[in-house]
Amino acid sequence: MKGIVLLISILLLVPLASAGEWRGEGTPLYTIAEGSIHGGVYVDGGHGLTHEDPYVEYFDLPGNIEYARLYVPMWNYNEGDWVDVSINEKSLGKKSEPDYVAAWGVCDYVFTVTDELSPGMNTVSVTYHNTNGAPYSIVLVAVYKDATMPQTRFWIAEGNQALSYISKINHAEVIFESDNPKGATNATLWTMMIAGNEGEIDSLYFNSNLLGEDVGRRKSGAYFDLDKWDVTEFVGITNNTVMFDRGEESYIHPFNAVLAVEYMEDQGDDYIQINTKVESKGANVPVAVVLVTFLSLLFVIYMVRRKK
Amino acid sequence: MKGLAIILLLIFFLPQLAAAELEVGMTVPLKSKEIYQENRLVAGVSWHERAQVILTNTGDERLHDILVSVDVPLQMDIEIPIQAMKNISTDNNRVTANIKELGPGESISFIISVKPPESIEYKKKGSFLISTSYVDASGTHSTSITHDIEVVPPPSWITYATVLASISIILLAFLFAWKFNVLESFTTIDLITIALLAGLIGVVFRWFWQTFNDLLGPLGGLLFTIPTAVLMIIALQLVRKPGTATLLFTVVELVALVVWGTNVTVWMGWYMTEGIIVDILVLLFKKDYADRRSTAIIYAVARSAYAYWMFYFFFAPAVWKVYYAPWYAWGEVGIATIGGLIGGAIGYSIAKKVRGAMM
Repeated sequence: MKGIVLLISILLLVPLASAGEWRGEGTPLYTIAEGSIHGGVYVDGGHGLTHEDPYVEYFDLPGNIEYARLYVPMWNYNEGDWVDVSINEKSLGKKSEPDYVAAWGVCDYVFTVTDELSPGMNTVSVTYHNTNGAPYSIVLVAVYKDATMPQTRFWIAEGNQALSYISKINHAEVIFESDNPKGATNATLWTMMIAGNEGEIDSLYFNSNLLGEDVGRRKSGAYFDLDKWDVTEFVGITNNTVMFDRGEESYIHPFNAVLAVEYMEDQGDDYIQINTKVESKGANVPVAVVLVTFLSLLFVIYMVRRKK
Repeated sequence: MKGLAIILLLIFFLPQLAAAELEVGMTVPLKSKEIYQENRLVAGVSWHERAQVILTNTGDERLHDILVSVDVPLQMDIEIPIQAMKNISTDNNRVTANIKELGPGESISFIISVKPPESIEYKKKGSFLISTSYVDASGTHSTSITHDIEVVPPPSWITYATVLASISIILLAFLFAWKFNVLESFTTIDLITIALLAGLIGVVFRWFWQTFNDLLGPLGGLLFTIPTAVLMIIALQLVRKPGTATLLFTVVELVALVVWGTNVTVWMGWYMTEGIIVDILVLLFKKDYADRRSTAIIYAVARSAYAYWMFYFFFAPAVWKVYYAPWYAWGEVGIATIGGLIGGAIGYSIAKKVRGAMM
């Protein structure tokens, strides 16, 4: 009998001892970089969960990259896992700790790769150790300078928030703060989501305007959606807001939102502002796990005492 | 004279010996071959599947002006992703690539993306026709190969049929339970026991497995199959009523539905079959509620193997549109069987002690 109580006690203690394994609700999207530039913003990537190793993606870039962030979303992060990213065959070194992690190990390894890229074709290759997981995609966001182009105001938001049934979080919102002048000739929004499913209807809004439904439907590859939206007619003169609505999705993880607004006339000097990175929130054990273990223990004690 | 003849023969045969050869191959879908089945696409997926064409110069001459054309079957939509190789174009259902030259022993590859048909009634076979022409010292050569694939129907009608079957199983189970007053035979203590054991399977060990499955690498599934088998055997020994296993696994899925939000409502009937199989075995063994180690192992193996078989050969293709490589899928079923074997053996000993302490 003592053995049984001991076994259940251990079960009860395992979650507490290993707190940090349920990865929690993750990190809401926030603006990591913003600025103005005569030039543009390049956003591209692919190609879904395939378990290829190495996982390779190509990026055909313009010259004069002023700022670039590379994202490697992965499934099934656990301690001891690592990724080794190479750009044009030059390794960035092994990286163990993901920058953002949520839910059951949906994570994102992020790299600032401004100085690693070349004009023209760039090959990004990821090798990894992750026994039952793999990359969902490789996505590159790059800001480039081109003096012949009009000035563009841009915001790059990143994070990894689990909108899920468990976390009871149904919306994710990112606000691109600024007082925008009138006269935008072009406004483009890119969004990247992980783990959406076709037929489970989610919604995406820009300044309360519906951009699409069932956006997360694995159209850019398995469990991966990278979308580009023309939001010129919706762009506001004050803060612009992107909202991800989980809708019927069991799980969906917004990872990126990038907004680029092009102006006819210059709006001041060019600049790039890098904001402080938000650290991934601490993880926790689901309450249900502790509760069920505790109730089981109580039940065993009750049954044993009842017999006596 | 002999020497002259040898030289003449060498001159005559040398071009053939040194003849260039271009080997052509294709990988589709471009995914890990260790996990996914090759040459099988699922109709109705929302993304384009990638295919890689690989050209290898197996001769010892440099090849020039290589022209590759790939005729894509079944009117599949084509996209050309950004890649190292340029000069790739599409025209209707044909992809054309130009390669300037390829040295002896060198390989080059390019990727095309094809979207399987939205809907097909039955399994269809198709072939990529890959034609190549190239120039070497002896002139222009051309070859062509076909690469066969199979497109399996989107699970639409299979899904509807299986959903119907699932609902039928639920209805039959309810009918059976009502007709034979099965639920009334369970005491309150029995129901609490089943609920808590189901909670341990569906909440605690599911979480434990999801969190720590990497620890055992490819054997990670054991972290779930062993505890599930142990708890199932405990349930059988403690409750000792017909329908215990069915009720247990039904509650496991209901708990998963509530706690994890698992969308299983329409598949519930199939999940119940994990328990139905065990309950049938209990009856076949004349109401042996895992009272012998041998029956405990048989029940646990049957449940584990069946559950994994269902996942890899039924749910994965029908619900998630993923076809696993047969050896991988059967390997997982094998691991589950081992899990059942271990879980059944351990479960018997634990269940006996639990029963002794509580009953």
